[in-house]
Amino acid sequence: MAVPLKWSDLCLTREVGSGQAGTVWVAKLKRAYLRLEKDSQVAVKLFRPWVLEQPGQYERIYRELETGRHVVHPNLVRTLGLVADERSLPALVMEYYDGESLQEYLARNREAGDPIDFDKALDIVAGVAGALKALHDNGIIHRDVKPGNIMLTPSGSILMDLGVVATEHSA
Amino acid sequence: MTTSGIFLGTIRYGSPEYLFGETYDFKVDIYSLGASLYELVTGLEFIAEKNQWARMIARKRIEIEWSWNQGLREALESRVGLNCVEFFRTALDHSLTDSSSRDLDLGDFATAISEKYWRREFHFADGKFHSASPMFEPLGSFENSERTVSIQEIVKELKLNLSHRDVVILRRILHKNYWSDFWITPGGLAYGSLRKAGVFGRSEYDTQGVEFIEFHSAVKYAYQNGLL
Repeated sequence: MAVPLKWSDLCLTREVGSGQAGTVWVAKLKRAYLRLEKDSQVAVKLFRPWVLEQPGQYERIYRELETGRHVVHPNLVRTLGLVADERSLPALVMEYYDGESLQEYLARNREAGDPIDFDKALDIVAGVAGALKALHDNGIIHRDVKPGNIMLTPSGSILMDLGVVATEHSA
Repeated sequence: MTTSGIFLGTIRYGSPEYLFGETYDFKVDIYSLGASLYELVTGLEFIAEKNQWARMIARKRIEIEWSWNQGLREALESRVGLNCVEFFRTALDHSLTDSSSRDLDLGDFATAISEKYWRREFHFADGKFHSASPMFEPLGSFENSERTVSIQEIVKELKLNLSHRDVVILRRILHKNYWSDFWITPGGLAYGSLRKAGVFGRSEYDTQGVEFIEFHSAVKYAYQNGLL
């Protein structure tokens, strides 16, 4: 069992996304963790304090962590751990994927009027369908599938954001 | 993402039963995947207008009900090509529908794509069309242009109204493996992307509003009935 990650193991480098609920940063690992080597990049999701005051929010973050940890699929985001940031608020550590979202790709494509790269498009869809199937087979509903949550990486599409997943019986 | 606890997700891609607070299950994901697929394969926005949400509330479900139309067909044809239209129509039909009939099998769908059933590379192996998935019919391709195809017999069996000129063109197209760009309509043949490419000029037939039979279906039918 690997030693769990701590905030001090992370070196935040830049902000890559900002939303209502919080911000996402890219960080470097100061030590090796699981199959990631030292200096690998990871994504860190920080939450706004008011968000954490909402009922059920901690459970939701924990569910995001557990889902991304236990449902393993090449096209599904993997979560690595939960750490307490310098404000003592939870911060979720995930694998980092370099690329653009399908939403960005479609917008760019629409603007330029380009035809889509059709083989690429199909691989995207097949990947997401596979990731969803893996979730469903584990009794989990994603609930927020959209182009903005699909990352296009050189190794395929990744279904992101397990922040609002629900288990089948609780839905 | 909202934190109200009522609706978590994105309105534009949310399924009707989820948006309206009814009971729901894993099928909400299938709907959202369908909505994303819609944008990807048509190049259109799934729910285009900004105030759509308000209108949906006002008019209940009417605005978000899925329906297939000529405009969508054209958008799909220009983006994915004629030979894939039916494949994606099937996927959209089975994902963007009401939850009771929403039955897109994600595993089947992913397999059908990755095994390229719908693509031209699909072989007419062992003299048979193969389909591993009941929902998605494979599109074939004549790899072997030596194969003799009795067009007159297909025409006769399917009661098609083809002119001699159609048959000549059909034979040429079969020989060149272009047949999946071909459509048979009650009014005659329609040359899909070949027409667009300017190979045969404009189609003489009015194809608006008629029931299309994709040519591969006709060939498959003829094959299964021992005509080929």
